Amino acid sequence: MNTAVAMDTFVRLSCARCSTSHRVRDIYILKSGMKAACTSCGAPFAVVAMPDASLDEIVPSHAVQEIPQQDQESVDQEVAQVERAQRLGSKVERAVFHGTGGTLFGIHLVNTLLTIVTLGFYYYWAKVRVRTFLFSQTEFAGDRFSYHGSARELLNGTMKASLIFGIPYYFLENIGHFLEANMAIRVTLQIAAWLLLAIFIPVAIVSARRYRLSRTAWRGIRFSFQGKALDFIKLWLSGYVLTAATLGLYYPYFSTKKHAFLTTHSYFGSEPFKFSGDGATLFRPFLMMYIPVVMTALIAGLALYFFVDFPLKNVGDLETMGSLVIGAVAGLFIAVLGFRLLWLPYSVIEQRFFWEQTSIGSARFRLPITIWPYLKLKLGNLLFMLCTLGLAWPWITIRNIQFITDQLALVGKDNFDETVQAYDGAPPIGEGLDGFLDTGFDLG
Amino acid sequence: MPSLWQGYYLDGHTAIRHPVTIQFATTALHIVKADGNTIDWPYGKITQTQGAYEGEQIRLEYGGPLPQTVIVEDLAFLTALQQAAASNAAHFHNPQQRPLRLRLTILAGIALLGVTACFYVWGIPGLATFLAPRIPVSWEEQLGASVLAQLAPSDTRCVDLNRFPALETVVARLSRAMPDSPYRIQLTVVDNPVMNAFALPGGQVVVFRGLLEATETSEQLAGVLAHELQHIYKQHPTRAIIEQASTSLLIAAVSGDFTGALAYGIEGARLLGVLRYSRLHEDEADREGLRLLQAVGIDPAEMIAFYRIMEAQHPHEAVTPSSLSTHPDTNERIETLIALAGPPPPHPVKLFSQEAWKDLRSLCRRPVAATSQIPTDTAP
Repeated sequence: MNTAVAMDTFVRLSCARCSTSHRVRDIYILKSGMKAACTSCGAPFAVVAMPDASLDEIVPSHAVQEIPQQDQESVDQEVAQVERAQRLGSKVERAVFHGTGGTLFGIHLVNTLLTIVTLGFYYYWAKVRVRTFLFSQTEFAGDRFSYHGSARELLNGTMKASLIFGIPYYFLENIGHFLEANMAIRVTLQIAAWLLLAIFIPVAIVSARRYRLSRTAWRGIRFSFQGKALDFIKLWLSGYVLTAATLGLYYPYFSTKKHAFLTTHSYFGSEPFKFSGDGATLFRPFLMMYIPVVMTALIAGLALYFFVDFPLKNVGDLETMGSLVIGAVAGLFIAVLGFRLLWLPYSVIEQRFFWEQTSIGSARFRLPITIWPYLKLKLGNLLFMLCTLGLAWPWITIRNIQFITDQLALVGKDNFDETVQAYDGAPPIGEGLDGFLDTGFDLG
Repeated sequence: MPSLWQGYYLDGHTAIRHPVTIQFATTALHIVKADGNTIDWPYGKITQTQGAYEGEQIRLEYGGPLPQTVIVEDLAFLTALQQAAASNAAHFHNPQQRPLRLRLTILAGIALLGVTACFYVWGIPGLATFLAPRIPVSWEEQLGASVLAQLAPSDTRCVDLNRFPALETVVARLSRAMPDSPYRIQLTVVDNPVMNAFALPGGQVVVFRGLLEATETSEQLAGVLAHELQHIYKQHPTRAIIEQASTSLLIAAVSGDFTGALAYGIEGARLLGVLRYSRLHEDEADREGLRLLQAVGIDPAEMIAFYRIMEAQHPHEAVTPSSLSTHPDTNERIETLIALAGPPPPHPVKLFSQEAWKDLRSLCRRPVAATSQIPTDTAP
């Protein structure tokens, strides 16, 4: 007979045969009828019943593998679940953003003046000031974040990236214009430039994440990113090729894989973040955006095709061809517009899904955002930006942050006190090319 | 003011919050943990990383690279710290100076407006004036040639071997008046009904059939060409590239970001910004073009006459304010040119007879065709 003791959100099991103790971190994944074996003596374990039936309905972590719910009702349910979890004693930690647009605008004014007067040199110091402000104003579970980056590090990052990627890319991209080179050489140079760019993007993503996390702390404990750039380049390139080959249909899988890689290699001190999502879950919401976009483009194209009455005998007729080209361009334009509009709802579903599949220790994140408020936020931002010719930047930044912090929650966290510092304070530098790729730089 | 302050302490190794009591000693911050252990931080070695802005907690750090931290909620703590640390307190934020900081920020805002305006009015054109002559002519030629290949592919050009060389003599006559120029002017006529002409960096001048056929005399074409040639001699296309890039940078600096929704707002501001430079270039090309015509002995009245033809065929939209246009108002341009032209020359140069010109301007057509074409685009 095995006994289980529930402690907050994790369970401690002790084996009746060998008396060893085992810890199941996430009680929510346990379901009646699940079986396992003791790692020491092999005695069988079985989940007969959940220790507290109400906990089972609080956070059905793997039930979320179904299509993410998008309607207001389901979000209300989710909010209610979080609140119920709170009442039942499961810890729910929340984020709060305290900053105001006015203060950020003041910082921004001084930053801009100094950036212009120093002909751009102050840019990196300005960046650090803004980040420090935003981090200091962000509270999570009662404690503020702190930013420990420096302008000198950002400047070094830009120098490195320019030397290794920027200058060679610019050279490859433009040298063709100044050389009396033949077509083959020009095409080769252009392909080389694209390849360099294709490698640079994933390297920049990983490097910026490595740098930023290593300079971010909460309760004095630094975050870190331990993934290898080479692995991310492989994931990125194969994902890109597959997305292109499937006319975009692979995108939700690619996006989820990217996110999973970036999340599962991230740590808070010694504690890793975990990600349990599968791209298949996003496929249906993605199709709901993809099909209307493709259909609109096709219908627009076809309508114009018939409108210009394009029988085969006219194939050589320049004017008919011209109309067709206009039709194709119009179809493309409508598709792009439709894509941008439909992307916003998909992006809400994706963000919710990504957060909800992310956990740390035994606690899982929740972000019950819905489509309509997000749409209002983004369209409002666009309007605000257009009317002020870009000057509304500080207020828009804060609107975006508050939209997330107002709704983000971490449900069922056991004690953060167990987390210890893993970062030793040294800059993340390796050796050789691989070493450079994993250096961790930020473009600011 | 209390002499004991409540806060909490983070040791930099674990995420445990230790409640602490803080006291101000003469030279150091005296921190007492709940278990009775004490820590002393000399004032000079403490860094304040948060608490300078409203809404922030006071965060003091000590040591590194993974510092120990003390966090205090009460803002009055900073005032007490200022008094306690006295001569060692300059590096701590003083809440009493917040009104002063607000005034300085407002001052910075006003200064920013002034500096941005100075950059826009003098700095960017000055930079273009400084940089443009330093760009090798061969670069401009390469750039001009590659743009020409895209805008006017060779199968769209009118190259009648009998008539085209005669048109080139008009260009040659004008360019001979500028013997010191490093540019070799090359004319291209494009078979397109648009009533327009433009100049590219390095010496390329493109004239559309629509414009060529709208000219009544060869001297009117010379007027258009003189304007375009001055764009090249004054390096306007090259300067425009520098001005556009610098304006983008200036606007990005003011608005803080290039990405997302910002890009739209910034693009609008950039377009408005560079239009002014474009109009300045047009004004200069008009003035200098007129002087070039006078230098070769052609009556500037011909240039003015052609501007009137353009205005008649393509009236300037009354609803469009000139600040939203790439070109200055044509009527204003005509008035300026009349004022600059002065009295007509006693013996104006005639390049071709009326008959010869009727044939030459129909370069793009086999039979001599009617001259009137419907204009569809802007003036040169």
